[in-house]
Amino acid sequence: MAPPSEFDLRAALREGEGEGLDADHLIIAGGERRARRRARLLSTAALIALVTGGAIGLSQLGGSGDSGGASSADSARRGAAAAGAAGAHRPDFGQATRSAAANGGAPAPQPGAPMQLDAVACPAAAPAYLLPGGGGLNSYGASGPMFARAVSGVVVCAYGPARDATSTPARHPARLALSGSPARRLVTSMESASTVASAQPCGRGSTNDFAIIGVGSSGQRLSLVTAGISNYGCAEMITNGTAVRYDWSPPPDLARRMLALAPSGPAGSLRPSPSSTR
Amino acid sequence: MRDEEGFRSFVEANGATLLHAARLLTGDHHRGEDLVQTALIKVYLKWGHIDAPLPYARRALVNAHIDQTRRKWWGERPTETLPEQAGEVADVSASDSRDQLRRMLGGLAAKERAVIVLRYYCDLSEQETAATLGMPVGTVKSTCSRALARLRVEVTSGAR
Repeated sequence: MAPPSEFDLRAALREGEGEGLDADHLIIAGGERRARRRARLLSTAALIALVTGGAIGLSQLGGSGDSGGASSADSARRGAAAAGAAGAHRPDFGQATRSAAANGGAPAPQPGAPMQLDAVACPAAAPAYLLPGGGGLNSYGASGPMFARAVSGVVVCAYGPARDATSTPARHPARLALSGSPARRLVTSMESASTVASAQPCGRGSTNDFAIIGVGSSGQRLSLVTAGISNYGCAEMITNGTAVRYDWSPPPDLARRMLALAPSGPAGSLRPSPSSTR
Repeated sequence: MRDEEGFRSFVEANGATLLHAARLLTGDHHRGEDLVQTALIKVYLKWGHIDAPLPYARRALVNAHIDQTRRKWWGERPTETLPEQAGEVADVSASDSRDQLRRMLGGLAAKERAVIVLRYYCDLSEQETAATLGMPVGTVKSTCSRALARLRVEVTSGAR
């Protein structure tokens, strides 16, 4: 057979193209990077001012008596004031932290997570959907998407060991915000899990309750998906109240991070995810 | 105020091509998405100061990819011996042949792959490819010839 031609090479390279990009997501991510860069510059400037003020103060302390001491104290105060003023321009995560904590969340902004995720609070208690007939293949919308719109970020709320109605209420949830590739990988694994219950479901044994909230590119809150994930990193069933998936395993690196939020019982080796990448 | 509408139009017009180029460069669906996002965020941050955003985006894409391959091992290494070409097996469909070519692309070194993607997917001339990669035209020619030889592609058209 003849070797491939330039035409064949071009055709091979073009195959599979077509999927577009979300410009809004890029604009949000770009804005976040710019804000982080400014915060770093301001904190560096504050540190320099503090060090400079302190150095001036120390050098003057080593000079003449009272007048030197007074001016060194003034310099130190000026340096600290400059540092404080610069620090005041830092993005205030405290407000989101306080408001979300009041709602039962304990947000810790993750590196790279857009600011909009900070505004998404976890429900105070582990939510539970009542699915008609327990949910299943023939239920309306059971095989539909977990998230009706494209997800830009995900907030994972961890409630600890699964409890029944007679036990004491779950503790306040721990929280994990994901964006970019980790969020997309998590969502992809959820959407691609089986729509049919297996004869030998995974997720047996002690499980931890999770709520997984999708966030759109404009920061709007999308579906909330409940999952009971075992220590082996698998959930027998996940649902958004309508759509249902079975035997779901998050990508192993994300499963470890999620289970670390709500450890319970003996740690087990994670079930390999069929869609894990990195 | 940043020209967000201009950037949106740019992404709408060129996003698909850049995303596919990123996937060809990385050889992976998700890493390609991360790569193109990295490059386009740089474009967005410089928007308003760039005269030619598409060449800038391509340069950012390729540079980010080459930087990443220098820093990390992505689970693939260029191989001296590429897999047997599909053309040597009888009755191989055109689709199989294209799949084979794309797999063989993964066996090329980062710069060889970048030259192939820029020349034969982005349809850049040798001069444009050299400007994007920051290398002399002669190096582009020799790198391209080497890569084509490894892919065992027969090029009959003249140089553009």
